[in-house]
Amino acid sequence: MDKIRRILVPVDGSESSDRAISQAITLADVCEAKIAFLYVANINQLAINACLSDAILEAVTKAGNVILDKALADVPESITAEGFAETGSPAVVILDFANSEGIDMIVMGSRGLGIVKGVLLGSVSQYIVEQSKCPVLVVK
Amino acid sequence: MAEYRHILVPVDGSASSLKAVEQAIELAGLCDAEINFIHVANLNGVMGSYPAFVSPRSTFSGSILEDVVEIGRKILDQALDMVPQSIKAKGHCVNGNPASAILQEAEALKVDLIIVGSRGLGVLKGTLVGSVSRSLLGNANCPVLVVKAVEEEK
Repeated sequence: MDKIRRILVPVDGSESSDRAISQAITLADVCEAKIAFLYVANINQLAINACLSDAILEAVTKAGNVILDKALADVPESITAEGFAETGSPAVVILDFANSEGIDMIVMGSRGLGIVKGVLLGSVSQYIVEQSKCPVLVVK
Repeated sequence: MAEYRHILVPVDGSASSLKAVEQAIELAGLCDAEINFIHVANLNGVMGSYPAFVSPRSTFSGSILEDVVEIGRKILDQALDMVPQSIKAKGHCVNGNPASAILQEAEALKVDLIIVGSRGLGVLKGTLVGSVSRSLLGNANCPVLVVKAVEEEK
């Protein structure tokens, strides 16, 4: 069984995501692992080039940083944590990050800020659970 | 900081189920948690409500029940044998709808974490996440850790 050294926590500011952050901190503490928080702004390069104004990009970047900073603030001194902001399709970006950044476990909320509130497992979480090679901890 | 005290691991002898057992052992060791293995024999289809006119022979259900209990014991023993002495572990074999039975046990044991394989021995081999695991992800009150088996064919 591979030791858990690096935990990826996709964050989006939702309640579910906040609970995932707590669980990840517990795990990181127990496993002596590092945490990587990842915020993905759901905008693609085409939109950025073609029509998104600087003001919108700035706003999105700021929102992402607020979320990442809040996550990082919750982490105790004894645990190493970093924040990453990316743009793109969340599920794809998260998976790519997990595969290329030596991630041993993903900890994420069961659903984020998406519109369909009746859904028990959001589309991004569902996709990650299906496609991830490493274990995925889903937190309600 | 919350801690994991009780971990529930549904087992069915499948490859990803064994990976779940390994993961549970590692975490339980680090957290000093207790592991509960649960195997659910889904006999409802076989022994469940048949209309009166069918009247299956009583011996039919008797021996099948014995076989299923024996299979359950073997699967649980396989998991229990993997656990080192230093970690407390128990096995439970119940009958019923797998997802419901697992969730019921999770409530009864007040588990902090469920660790489950992504898919079991079920028929739909193309599925990446089996129906039971999916159901647990949607309905469990505690976090659910889904573990994948190593893929042999790629």
